[in-house]
Amino acid sequence: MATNEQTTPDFENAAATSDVKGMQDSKLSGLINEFLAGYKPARPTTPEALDSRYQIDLNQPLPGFDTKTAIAYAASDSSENDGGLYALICKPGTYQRHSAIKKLIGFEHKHFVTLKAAGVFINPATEIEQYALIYTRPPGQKLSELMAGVNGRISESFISRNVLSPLITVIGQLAEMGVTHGSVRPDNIYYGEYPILGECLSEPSGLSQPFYFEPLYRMQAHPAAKGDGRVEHDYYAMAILTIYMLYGAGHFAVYTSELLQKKILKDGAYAALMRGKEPPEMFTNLLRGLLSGNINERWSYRNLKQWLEGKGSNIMPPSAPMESARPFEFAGTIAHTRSELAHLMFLNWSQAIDLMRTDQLIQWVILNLRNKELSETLKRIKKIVSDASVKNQIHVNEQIMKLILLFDPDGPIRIGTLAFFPDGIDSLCNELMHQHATEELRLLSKFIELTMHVHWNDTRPTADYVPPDTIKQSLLKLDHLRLFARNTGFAFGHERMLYELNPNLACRSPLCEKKHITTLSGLLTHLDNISASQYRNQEAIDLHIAAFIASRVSIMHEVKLHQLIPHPSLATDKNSMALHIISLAQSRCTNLQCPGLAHWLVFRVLPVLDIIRSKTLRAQVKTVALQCAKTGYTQNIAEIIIHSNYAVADMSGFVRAIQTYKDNTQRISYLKRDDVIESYSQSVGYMIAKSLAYLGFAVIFIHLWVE
Amino acid sequence: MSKKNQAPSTLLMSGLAVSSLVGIVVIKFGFIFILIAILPSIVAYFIDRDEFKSAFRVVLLCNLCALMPNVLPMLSAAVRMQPYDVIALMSDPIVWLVVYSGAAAGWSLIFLCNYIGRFLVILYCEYQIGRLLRFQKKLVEEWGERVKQEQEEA
Repeated sequence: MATNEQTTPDFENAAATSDVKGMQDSKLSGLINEFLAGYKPARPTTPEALDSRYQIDLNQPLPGFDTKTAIAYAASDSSENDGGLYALICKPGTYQRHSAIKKLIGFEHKHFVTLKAAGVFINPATEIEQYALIYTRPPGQKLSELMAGVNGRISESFISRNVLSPLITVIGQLAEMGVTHGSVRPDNIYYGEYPILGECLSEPSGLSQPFYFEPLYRMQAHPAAKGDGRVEHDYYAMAILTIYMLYGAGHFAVYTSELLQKKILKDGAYAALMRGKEPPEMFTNLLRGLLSGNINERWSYRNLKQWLEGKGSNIMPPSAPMESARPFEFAGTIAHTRSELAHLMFLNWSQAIDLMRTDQLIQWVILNLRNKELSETLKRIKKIVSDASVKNQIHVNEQIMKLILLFDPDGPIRIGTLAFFPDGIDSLCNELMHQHATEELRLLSKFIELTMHVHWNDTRPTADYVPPDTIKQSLLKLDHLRLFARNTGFAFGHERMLYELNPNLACRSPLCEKKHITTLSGLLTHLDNISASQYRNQEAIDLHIAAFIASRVSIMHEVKLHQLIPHPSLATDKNSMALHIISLAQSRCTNLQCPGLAHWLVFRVLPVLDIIRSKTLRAQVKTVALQCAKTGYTQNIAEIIIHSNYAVADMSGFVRAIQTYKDNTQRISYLKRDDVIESYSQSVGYMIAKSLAYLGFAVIFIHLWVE
Repeated sequence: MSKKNQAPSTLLMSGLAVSSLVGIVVIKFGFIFILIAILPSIVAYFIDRDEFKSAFRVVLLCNLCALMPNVLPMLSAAVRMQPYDVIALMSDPIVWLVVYSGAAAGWSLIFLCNYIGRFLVILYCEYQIGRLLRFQKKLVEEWGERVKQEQEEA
């Protein structure tokens, strides 16, 4: 009879399991509860003083230095007894310009606030870890406040010698270091004996900048997505500063952002911003040079230096931009230039799509712009837009985006409701996540997934275009991100996009609410610390933590636990994935033990293991997992629960058990059949009868023979 | 019936034919006596449908047991070339009673052993069923009720 006497599967971890007897679930949970109830890890805490020397006085706020993303407090340097400092404590989840921070720490310039330190400190009042920047406190008043107190006009020589000249020098020096300021405005310039340019690192470049201090194309972009920009933008802001000092703040009061954009598009920046006023002769060339409509003709540091030295030639007043004698009417507005039309199309996106289904724009380009190459491109765009179905809306949007870039290559990338520069995509993503703008995030994700950023390079007006370093790095980042933007599983999605684009961003998981965690070891240590209080009600990982770890350990493909495929619900379970991801993170942190976190993970994963069919094996796996948790290395637990072959053994054992049960059932019913019993009985009966007959015959034969 | 089964049968028939000839030559009328005496065995051979002709063998052996006390003196006389009164033997009703009782005992043995066999087989089957049921219970304890359900679904 072929019956399988083995009821449990082989579990190829003999070394680990041979001396292990399975424990009951209640006993296992009891052991975990007991361990975590008394678990109090001794960890070094985040210091209250930054760099062990900069003390922040939270009782002394300095609202005058506040920015949109940070609150200012008085600070002091305990080692130098220097009280003339202030700290900007950044709000959690906000964007800071980390690359610029690295370059500017310790940079000292007479006309620029010195960044003394930057890092994480713990707020003793709230016990919240926050990122802080320590600056020297600039003496004097803000230029805007100073001007408000001045009666009459500020002298031209004062503006030139005491304000513009020092600021041009410091901006030039910053540019040499590869940093653009982006926040040149009167309320960020302090004036005592001389001007000091305020900070620019606590927020995305140009976030707090009033719209009129920005060039047209930065004005068109999302405030958090202007990117680092170029030094010319700072010089442009200086031109506005000059107008501001000449004519006062009220000079720009007539404008809203949209109105000023339209005016600049119609009349050019110089005419729009001067509002028909003739500047003093001293500044005429400066303003014409800095506010030139042609980006390539705009003054650089060399021109400004010449101007400061009293050299340089006269510049003609910039003329109003005009490309076509016959304007194009779109959305009830007349457009004379492609930039103007691009602006209108972005504002009227759905009408722009309708327009591209007709030949109107192509005809205008052919007849009025006489640009055959452009008209051919437009024909291709028209074909794609016309052929696209409703489902392919994203491809239609892509074509309109491309068209806008073609019409206005200096402008930002505009798609749907988003307008941004490639180097501002990181801060934009952060801002959208902060605002929970899901639709915009989805659009941004599609932008990356469909590699739409290639249109940026494709639409540059010159073939030998070399993007600035910041844009080049952003485009490379987008190329890298594209590889897994399509993945939607655990550790991917919008959260992954956020952490990939912002490698210095602190983890924004609700579990890390009061912490500023930017490293894997920091995250694991924190999770270990909170394990005792969280393990009952919380999973050890959420989308943010998963994405944060995945970006740090470079998980490129969707997490699939192949060893657990025989048990699909175990393979796709969030707790199994959590264990896998956290074990990967811990394997990158040498010698970091997290017994609390390990117990937390085992506690969460125990109920999931009930999917193992073999009672013996289930108890063994659970018990071994708990033993591994005691070591504090989640890798060991993952080795048992994820990477060992118990799932396969369990599955094959189960299949064998089913087959054995089936065979036995058949065997039982066979043995119960009357005909079978009859047939066996007959055979056995004959056998006995034959035996007796042979025996009798032999006895008689021998007896007769003997006689 | 296959050819493999036919071959020994042919051999047997040839053997029987030769031994019959030898019997006719050696014991003459005695051969007729033997032939009539083993008639129940010959009948058993034809009515036995068992593959191994078990009933025939049992009847034949029992038949021969009863026949042997009468046949052995006849054979012994034939070997010594002495005359043997076969007619007297054949006319004795006791002889026929003994010979045919032997065959009847064969049939009785078959029926009796059938009952014994049935008893033994039932004993064995009950033991096996009990063992298998115990093993199935163990399987359910180890793998859960799904082992049963999966089988029922299948």
